[in-house]
Amino acid sequence: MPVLIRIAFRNLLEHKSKSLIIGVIIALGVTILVVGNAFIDTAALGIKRTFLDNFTGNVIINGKTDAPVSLFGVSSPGGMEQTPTLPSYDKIAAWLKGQPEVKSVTSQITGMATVSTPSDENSDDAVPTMLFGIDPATYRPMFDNLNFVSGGYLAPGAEGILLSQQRVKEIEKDLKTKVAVGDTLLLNGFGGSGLHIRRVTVRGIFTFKQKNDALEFISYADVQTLRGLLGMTLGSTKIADLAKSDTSLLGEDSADSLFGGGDMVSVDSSAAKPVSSRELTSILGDTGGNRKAEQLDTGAWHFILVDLTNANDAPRFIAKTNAWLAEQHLNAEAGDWKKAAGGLGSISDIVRIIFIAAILIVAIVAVIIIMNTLIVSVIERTSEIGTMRALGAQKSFIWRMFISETLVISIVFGLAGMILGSAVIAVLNVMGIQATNSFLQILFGGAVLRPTVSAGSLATALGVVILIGVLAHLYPVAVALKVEPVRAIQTE
Amino acid sequence: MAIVRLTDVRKVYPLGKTEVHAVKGVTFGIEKGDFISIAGPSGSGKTTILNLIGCIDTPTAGAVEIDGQATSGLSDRDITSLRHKMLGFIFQSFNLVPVLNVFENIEFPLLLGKDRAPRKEKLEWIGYLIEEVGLTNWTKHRPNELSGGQRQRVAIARALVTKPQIVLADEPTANLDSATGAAIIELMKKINREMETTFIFSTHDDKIVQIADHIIRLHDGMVSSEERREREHASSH
Repeated sequence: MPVLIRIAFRNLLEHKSKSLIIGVIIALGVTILVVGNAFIDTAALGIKRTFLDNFTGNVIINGKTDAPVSLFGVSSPGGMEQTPTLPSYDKIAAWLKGQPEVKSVTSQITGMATVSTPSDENSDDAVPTMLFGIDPATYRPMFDNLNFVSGGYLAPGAEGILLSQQRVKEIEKDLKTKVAVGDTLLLNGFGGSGLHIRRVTVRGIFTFKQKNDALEFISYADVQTLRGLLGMTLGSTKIADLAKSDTSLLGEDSADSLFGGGDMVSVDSSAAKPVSSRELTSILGDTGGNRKAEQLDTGAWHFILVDLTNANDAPRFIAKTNAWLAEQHLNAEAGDWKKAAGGLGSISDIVRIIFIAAILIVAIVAVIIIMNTLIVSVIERTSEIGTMRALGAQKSFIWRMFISETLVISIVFGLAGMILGSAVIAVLNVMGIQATNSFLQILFGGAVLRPTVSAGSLATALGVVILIGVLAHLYPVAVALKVEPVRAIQTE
Repeated sequence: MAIVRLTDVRKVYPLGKTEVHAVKGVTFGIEKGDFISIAGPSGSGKTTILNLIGCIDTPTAGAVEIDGQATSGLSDRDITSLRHKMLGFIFQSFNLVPVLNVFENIEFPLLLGKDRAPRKEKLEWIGYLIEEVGLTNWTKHRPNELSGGQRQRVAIARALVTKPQIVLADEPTANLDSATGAAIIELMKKINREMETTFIFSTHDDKIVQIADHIIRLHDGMVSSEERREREHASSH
């Protein structure tokens, strides 16, 4: 064994109390790091699986706005911004079908609505729900995420709504009426052109296969019903091309100039005459355009969700898709599952940031404690260092001696911490940690968290502890390097 | 040519707002193979002179030459290499590395230099030194398991392991009883004769001084007298 390692090990044993102080700090730090990382990694994986397998797929494509868009809508400051309709849906869908990486594709519309019963049409107790408007033919094969308590999936092309069991309970509680498959409910939606009401039949009551109370507010409806609720008509998706003369009044701010300065009411002598249907039609002109504007846009979608054959291709495929969208001058963008999941997908990241901040504080405290202990050690060993220097040890040898001791203590106690942390995680994995509320269910990515330790997490812990050791030894070793050989004689 | 030469060497230490003139213009030379005692009462400058010769301290003025090489102006790396190659140290308090055993302590200086002797040759040499200082049965013992005399023997073997031309010993018998002290000096003398290693030791014990064949007496930081005697010669190893 090299002399430096020999000296390092023996010094650790020789100065047991100091070694133990430093060692316990390191071991505890590593234990916390391993356990914390295991929790966060497992939770992050759970959240990813929850969204990726059940809601988002690998890639989401949506229309662009200034605010962030997720599967749950636009996160605008006032919360009132409409989710943009995907431009040139057919063109994008056709392009996706031609891509070899694509395994399956489905489309979705998202909107908020309140649920009431026909008898409580004017009740204030309507229950809010988030509606995913889907095409069952493509959605169900991609996200087989529902267990039906009663009823079943929407039939392709049929109208209807699927409600979560929890939502049904809330509707029953708030509206004081039983809800069952086959019942008709009223949906009130607020779209771009105002308030829309649709009657809809309950086709199924479900629970999510991956239980997560926080997502139980989601209900599924046939896409045409949701388009109607959101006012997604052919007219709403057209951009009016008005002549300058038609818009000239928009610049006026005087009521007189808008409505004219004359009398508000004038008597038209023609009103006294009877008017035939033909005459009325000729007066009103062609109203076909108005009827068209009120027709639902059957090609309007908010999102295209894509599952890839190889999930690891997602970043590359997203970049490729965005490049194509830009090339085609389409005001749309592709993103990953995290973007699709919105704030919920970032929870593990936020928790990780908080954890890292906490670890950073612990690490700074650990560095200070270890540094102080090492300083005492250097002072106690001044004579030994001076002797070594007198005997011909270069400063680099002294540095290597201290870094060896730091690394030995860091690795020995770091490994102890890793073993302890892994043992704690193994026990927690067997026991399972129940998510007692909705937040924990989101955080855990399900109802129960069974944390596991990854090799990467262990390597990170070891890396961090070595970094702490190296940082902690810098000042003490600087002090040691200042010890002159003459101190060998002056100090005993 | 003198292996050690001091020319008008002065050393001043700051002491608060005042200065202590530890060495006040000392000039002398030491020949190769000398067994020299630097003698004098406490505060006469013995240790300072040894530190300057040992290149573990630098003079305020004057020149120190080791084997014809001036030590002033050398970098820390060069002066450390010079110490390792040319000098061996025996300390008053033994200064052994506490976590290393007898064998490892003696071996230690060999691990510091760039030159790596063949392992077999190295082991034979350490074995010879251990036998020479009479510690054959103590090789696996740590310093805290040894008596003062045994520790100083380890220090002597350690000082000799790199085959230095000069061994410096600062009051090597100060922490030993008189019989053990005398035995240590005899051992040093024996090695001096056998290996022709120059031994420079400081002491204030007049009985030990008399064993030396070259005596430099100091008083108040100056050489008060210098005495040379006929060397005893013995066959070398």
